[in-house]
Amino acid sequence: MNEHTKIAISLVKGNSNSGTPLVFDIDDIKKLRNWGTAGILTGTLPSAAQQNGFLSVPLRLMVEEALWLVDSGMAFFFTGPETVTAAAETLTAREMEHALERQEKSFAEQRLFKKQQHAEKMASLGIPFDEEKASFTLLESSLFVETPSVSELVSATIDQNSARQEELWIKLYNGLRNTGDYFVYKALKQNHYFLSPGARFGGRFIAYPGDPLRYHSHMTVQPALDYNRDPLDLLQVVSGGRLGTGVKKLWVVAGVKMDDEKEAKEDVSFFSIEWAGFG
Amino acid sequence: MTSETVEKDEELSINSNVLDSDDEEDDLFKDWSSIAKLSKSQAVVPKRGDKDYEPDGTNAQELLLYRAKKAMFDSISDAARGTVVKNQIKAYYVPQCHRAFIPHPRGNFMHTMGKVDRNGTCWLTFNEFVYLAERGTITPYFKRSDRESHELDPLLSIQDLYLLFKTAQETDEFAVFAHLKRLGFIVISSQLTPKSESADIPHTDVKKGFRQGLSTLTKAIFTFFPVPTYHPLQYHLTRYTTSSQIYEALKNLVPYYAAPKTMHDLEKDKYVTKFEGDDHEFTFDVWKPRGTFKKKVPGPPDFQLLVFNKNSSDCTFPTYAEIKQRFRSVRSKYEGSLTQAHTASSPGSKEVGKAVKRLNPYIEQQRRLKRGYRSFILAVMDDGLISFVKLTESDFGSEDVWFKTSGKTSKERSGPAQPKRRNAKNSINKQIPQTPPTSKNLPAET
Repeated sequence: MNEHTKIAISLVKGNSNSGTPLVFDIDDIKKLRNWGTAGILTGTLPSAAQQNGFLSVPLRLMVEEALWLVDSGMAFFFTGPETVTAAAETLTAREMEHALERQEKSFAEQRLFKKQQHAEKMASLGIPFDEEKASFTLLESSLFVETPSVSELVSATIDQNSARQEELWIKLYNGLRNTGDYFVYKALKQNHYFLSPGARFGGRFIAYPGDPLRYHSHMTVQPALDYNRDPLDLLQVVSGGRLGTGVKKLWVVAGVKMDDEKEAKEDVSFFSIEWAGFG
Repeated sequence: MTSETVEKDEELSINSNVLDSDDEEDDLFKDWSSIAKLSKSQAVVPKRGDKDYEPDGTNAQELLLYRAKKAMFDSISDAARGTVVKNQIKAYYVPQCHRAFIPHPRGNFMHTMGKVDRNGTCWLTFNEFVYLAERGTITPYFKRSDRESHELDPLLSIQDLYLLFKTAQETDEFAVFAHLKRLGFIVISSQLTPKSESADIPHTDVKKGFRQGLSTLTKAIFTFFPVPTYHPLQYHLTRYTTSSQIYEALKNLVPYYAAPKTMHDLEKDKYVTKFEGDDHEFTFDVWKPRGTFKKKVPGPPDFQLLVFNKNSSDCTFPTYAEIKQRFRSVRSKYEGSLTQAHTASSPGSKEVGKAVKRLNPYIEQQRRLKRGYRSFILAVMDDGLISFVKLTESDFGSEDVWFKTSGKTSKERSGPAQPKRRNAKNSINKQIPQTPPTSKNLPAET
């Protein structure tokens, strides 16, 4: 895979431990989806701005998801806000004028298109079209100014320096509340599950057998346990079984095996719990 | 039977315009075709709940999935963000103060957002700026520090705007802000809410003057926890003729926390907060949409909200002590829970007080138990999905649930009223329409 096809994950982090990984490019989002990463769309959909059912870019990824994508070489991190302020402050007058020119060019295209449309409409109504008579101000005020989703400002400053990437990766990993979750995510991903955040079904993740647009989820995966050290309360198992039955999913416990230095080995055991016979 | 009546009452008491709620939001991914308005082959695109158990490798399934994806991506990429030149409102981000200004402000959003200074420039908070830019209402620009004129300032994209967030916490807060704004709520950062109304209550100021130090503290402790008094002979000397007398006597042995119910109690309680010196701020104050809203005199908020990211090591779930502390600093309205005699004087509860009819005392009691008293909302962020959880201070100690309030009915209604968490939660969902379904399905912690 060459550098250019890597996906840019915009990471909002600042000084906080955790970060918010976001993807803005629709083509990237398509790619991710084909690779088995759905994410959550979180931005207002401009064509239907007063509802939450259907949202638009940015696509928000789980932190584990972002870590995994970067680790497997499919994406890289990109951070702000210095990059944006620096890029905006150092723009030369020439470049700014250039931006205006481009805007003007888009206006010119729109004008041409609108005039043509108007002419066609008039023709279909059988009214002779007079170029001079067409209202100039009306046309001017109906030109569209678009706010793009993807930045042009910062694209030049993208830095895929691997040392920096690794530093960000480690910081983000350490900011996880439960670092074991990353290994659980990875293990499930290797089994080709689609994963999404699972608090609404009482788990850390919920796992889908395929694209969530088409398939129901099968499992609600609990926050990772340390396989050798963490206890699993029997009452927890009972309530987990009830929960799983309630949401029609398998209740899954994952234990990550750690070695002596408490470093995670990439070895995760899964246990699923369901009500026998009556589910 | 009983619970049915209660539930009906709940329904009635809920404003009809907020009733639309979240009845069918249990599935995360929806049918994008309705929004895409594809003219052709509508019938084949999967409808909600029309999902398969697992991939079966057939072409038919592949086709359905392809269409669903196409509908989704088409509607995202077709929705152009922006305005026509005539309606364009330019806003400029000033990095030094992390805010944005609009030199020539106009538009409906001014009713609930922004702050206009003396020169007629409207200042937006960063959340407001990003929200308005994202829906295409304003066009975002970057204010260069080296130039006076705005003409050549660079246009910002949505990606730039998000990258300008300072912390991960701020993006979570924005997500909650935008979610509520899209639903039509009026949302103002709690730090920025004008708090004049709390100052005009005389109690606090008077007290501040002369009651200080230890005496206040001890007094506060006594008023908080009614201390049970007990003498060993007490039960030998009294003759009990009814079971309620026994209950009554036993009750005196059980210590309990009494939630403040009158304005007087509340003020006292608030004063303690000030004394202890950590006045916690909430993240957002939220008002239900209303035409009469005024930015400068907003009145007490309908809800107060705290944003909490459950997956980050930056945040921890509030401890009991913290939650108690929070309750003390709540400024939002009560939903008719204040005792009748005092409702008139309580902030903002005017309409509530009038609307409440005299009901069966049992039902009133049930409501009190269910609704509790002071409350705030915890918005739990789970990597992009938000769950709204309402935390309410309840008071079981002060309610005599075993009492025979009215002849016959009492028998079936006795027994320590189950908290009925489910119902309580449903009522939350109705107040905040279209919360993600989570609170229904979020069993573990709540």
